[in-house]
Parts: sequence; C-alpha cells; structure tokens
Amino acid sequence: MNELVQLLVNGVSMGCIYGLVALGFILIFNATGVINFAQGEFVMLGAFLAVTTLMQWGIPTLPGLLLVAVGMGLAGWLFQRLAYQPIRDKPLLAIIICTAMVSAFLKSTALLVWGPYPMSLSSLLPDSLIVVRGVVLPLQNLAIIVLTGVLLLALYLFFFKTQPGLLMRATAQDFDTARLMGIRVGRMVGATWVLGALLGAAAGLLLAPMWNVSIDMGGSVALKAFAACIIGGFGSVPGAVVGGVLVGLVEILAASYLSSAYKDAVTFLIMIGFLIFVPRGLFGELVSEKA
Amino acid sequence: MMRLRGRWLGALLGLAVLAYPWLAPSDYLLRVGNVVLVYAILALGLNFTVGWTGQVSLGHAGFWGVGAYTTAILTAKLAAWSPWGAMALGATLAGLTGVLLGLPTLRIKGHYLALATIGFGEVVQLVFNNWRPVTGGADGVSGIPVLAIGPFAFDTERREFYLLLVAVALLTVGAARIRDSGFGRAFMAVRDNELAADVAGVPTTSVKTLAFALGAAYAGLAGSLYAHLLRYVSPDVFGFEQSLLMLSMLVIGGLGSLAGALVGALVGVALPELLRIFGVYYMAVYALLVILVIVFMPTGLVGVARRGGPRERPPRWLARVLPGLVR
Repeated sequence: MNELVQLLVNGVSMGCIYGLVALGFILIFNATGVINFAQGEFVMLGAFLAVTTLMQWGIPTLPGLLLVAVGMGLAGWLFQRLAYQPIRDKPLLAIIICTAMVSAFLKSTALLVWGPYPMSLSSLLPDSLIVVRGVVLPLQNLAIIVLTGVLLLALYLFFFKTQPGLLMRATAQDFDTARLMGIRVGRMVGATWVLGALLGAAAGLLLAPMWNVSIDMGGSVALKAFAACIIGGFGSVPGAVVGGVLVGLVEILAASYLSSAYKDAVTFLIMIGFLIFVPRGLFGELVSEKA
Repeated sequence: MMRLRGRWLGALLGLAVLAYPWLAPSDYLLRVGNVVLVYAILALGLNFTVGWTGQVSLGHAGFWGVGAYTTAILTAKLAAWSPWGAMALGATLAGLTGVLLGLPTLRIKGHYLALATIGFGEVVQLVFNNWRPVTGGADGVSGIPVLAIGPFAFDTERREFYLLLVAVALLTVGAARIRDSGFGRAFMAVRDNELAADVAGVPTTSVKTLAFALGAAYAGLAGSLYAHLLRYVSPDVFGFEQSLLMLSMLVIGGLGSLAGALVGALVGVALPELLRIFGVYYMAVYALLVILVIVFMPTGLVGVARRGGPRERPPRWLARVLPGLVR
C-alpha cells in the first residue's frame, strides 16, 4: 500500500511535467494549427539556460530564473518569426519537417554552446525526503506537483481574467474574426509561442534536478507529451494536463508491475489505441484537423 | 534541341554513376555511395506513402529495421536461411507490418497520423532494444554473411555498389510502372482529394493501406540489403531521426517525384558527410539548409531544375532582415 502511494506520487509528479509540455503544444496548436516538434527543445533550452545563469554565472535563484524566462520568451518569439511565419501557408508535411528540423538545429546548437556532457542542476528544488504515516515521499516530487498547480492557476487567471488572455483566446478560436474585431492577431500568435516556450522551460526547470541536463532530455519528454495530448484529446487544454498525469501514472505503474524495459511501449500502444478507438480523447472537444 | 541535350546529360550522368566505384578515391567514399543507394530505396518506398498518396509517415525507419533484423536473425543468428530467402521474407514481413499499421491508423489524418507513426517507430525500436534473446538488445546482431550468387560473392564495396545499383534501378522502374498504372492514379486521387476519390469509387482505405504496405516492403528490402552491407545491425540506427531524415530527403528532392527521391537520397546522405568539416555541429547546418529548401523551393531541387530557377521570390521578411543578402 505504502509502495503504491509512493508510486502514485512519483507518477503524478512526472505526469505534471509531461502535462506542462503538452500544454505548450496545445496552446500553440490551437492558435496556429501547428504541432511544434521542437517543443521538447524548449524544455532542454530552459534547463540549459538555468544551468548557465544559476550555476555558471552564479546569479541568485530569483533573478536567475527571471533571466531564463526572458531568454526563453525571446527564443519563442524568434522561433515563430523565423521558422513559423515564413512557412505557415505551406502544406502540413513542410511544416512538420520544418519544426522537426528546428529541433535538430537547436540540439546541435546546444551541443555547440554547452558541450556533450550532461550537467546537473541540483539546487533548484529541495532534495530531501519526508515521511507521512510511514510513506516516504521525496520533497522534490511534491514540490513539482505544487508548483505545477500554481502555474496552472496562474495560467487560468491569465486566460480568463485578463484582457490579453481574452484576446489570445479569441485569436485561437477564430483567427479571421478576431482580426476583423481589431485584435492584433500577429502579436497574439507571437505571444502564444512565447507562452509555449515558457511552459516548456518551466517543465525543463522542474525536470532538471531529477534527470541530468543534456541535449537529449527534450526528445523523450516531447514524445510523452504528444501521447498526453492524444489521450487527453487534441486541442483540449484540461485534456493536456490530465493526459500528462495519466501518462506519468501509466509509465510508472507499467515500469513497476509489467516491465521497466517496455514502459514506453505501453504508453505508445495506449496512445495508438486512443488514436484508433477514441480519436477525440478523454476531453473530446470537437476539433477538426486545422491544417 | 532541349530534348537531345537532356538525353546526353542523362547518358553522362548514368556513365558517371557507373564509373563511380572506379573514381571514388577511398573505400570510405565508396561506402558513402552504397549508403546513398540504400537510402534511395528507402526514399522510393516512402514516396509511395507520402509523395503519391499524401499520408504523412514518420515511422519509416521502423519498417527498415524489420527488414534488417529479419535478415540479421535468420542469416546470422540462426544461420539456417539463404540470404535471398531471408531478404524476401524480410520485405514481406515489413510489408505486412505496413498493412498492420495501415489498416487501423489510416482512418486518422494529418498530424494524428504523423503522431501514430512516430509511436509505431518508437515501439519497434523498443522491441529491438529489449527483446534480448532474439534481437541481441543494445548489442545488436553481428556476423551477417555477405550476399552471393553461386560462387560469386558481393564481398567488396565495389561489388556491393553494383548490386545496390541494380536494385535501385529495378525498384525505380517498378515504382514508375506502379505510378502509371491504375494503382498509381488511385494513390494520387486519394492524395489530391480523398472525398472525391471515394465518391468516384476508389476504395480509399485499401488504397492507402496498399501505399503503406508498398512503402514498407521497399523499406524492408532496403533493410535487408543494409544488413548485408554493414554485416551488423544495432537498434539505434532505426530511430525517429532516420525517419525524419528520409522524409526530409523527399522534400529536398521534390515530393512525389522519382527523380526527386533519388536526388534527395544523394543530398540527404552526402551533404551531412560534406558538412563533417563542421564537426559534430554539422546537424545545425544541415537542418538550416533543409528549412531554406522548404521555404524557397517548395517543389524541391528537381522542381527547381525543371523550371530553371527557384519559383518563389524570397519573402519580404527576409529582405527586411537581410537586405544585403537578398538583393
């Protein structure tokens, strides 16, 4: 029983990270109809930038993270300016390859800047254990869950209680009508990419203390986030988060009770099953393929 | 006059390819040429699925792996099969895998299909990595014999080159025949307007499945040939990056064109080799070049060659960012 609770907490905390990455996907997808295959590289970049500001430059945590946020916002904006705007009218295949190539480009560039050796970023989250009624829980995982909750709440308030949030939602819902209403849609789309990059970076910061920071860290997380989007229902914002948590849980339960080698296969088979039998996912909003 | 010049150019090009094994200054470059030919088969196969039928596939390397591992296991591990029989079985198995993946997943479209095929590729690679008793796990399978016809063994790079060249030629002709048949027209009808094709009586699901199966069978064959070329297979080769590389080859060469698939394979293999002067960072340069091709040459290199110049003018934003470069 205790073991199960520990597994569940670990699964949910990992799932929160997947959920954040998935959320970045969905926001960008809803606003532009593009699945950003480089979303995982936002995770990696965020973690590497934090290594640079916090560890290498020795900047205190808060201003350091602010710097990371500024850098990632810039990265998101540049991405959409250089790699999305020029190709947005091209066929789906061209867009898929283009974002995937940006992913390769970013990985290679990160290799150039930070080198091939994994780095560690240990100082960010508390690294101790707490015992609740005989259940040993890493404080780190609890912190991840709490921080994700706070982030989601902030996002909710932003989208539903502020003017820019409303404008961004309007743009995602109906680009042309939003433009007719006088909304600066180009800026809103740009802002969505910035937000997507920031969400990816947030996931990277939470992930960094658990895994090492390496150029490959983004890829596997992104694949899980894809699965999360499918399971939750592509286009659904709550679906992305719930899907992420489910993927985290499936992964850890499959690893402990079935086979740790095939845990990823279980996740992907479930994803393919959803694609075939429940293509709308759990939170089946009526979404048609935009592109 | 144009025609005549085209024919001369074609003949010259053909001669150059035939003479390559004698011109290549090193075995290494000859090996690169052989790998180009393997990728040519892969690109020709993927062209059925993506280029002609318009179904995005990012799991092509999975089929490649099925072919390669079938050959590796049957000829090296069990040592019980003739390489040619194993090759036929490898291509068939890969084709069947294509049907298995195609039948259920082809009801979904676009991004969804892309994600499902990525999932498929990942699962295949996981099986290669973890089914140790059969696939050898991360160590792979070594000791794959060379191909031979009777006493004549394809045991040098040069002999391999001609073998692969014949394979590529036959498979190109085969693909052209299929393109010009009713099947080819059905593929393209599905690509251009699936609803209209359906209404006109084209069995779209079977047609899409067939396109997947054909592409997969080509990939299986390529896998088998690749296994005999390297005489060793390991799981890390058959991953997502390779599927992406194959797709980028089609886009570079020109989607839906046989010449485009061949040119794309040449560029997709040779260019990274040339870019090795950039050391481990060659991938950044390669990725940048592919993006530029997508932006400026939407019909690929072959499309540009046919029209005699890039079709699209550089977009305004680039002129604004890099005025000196564009003007």
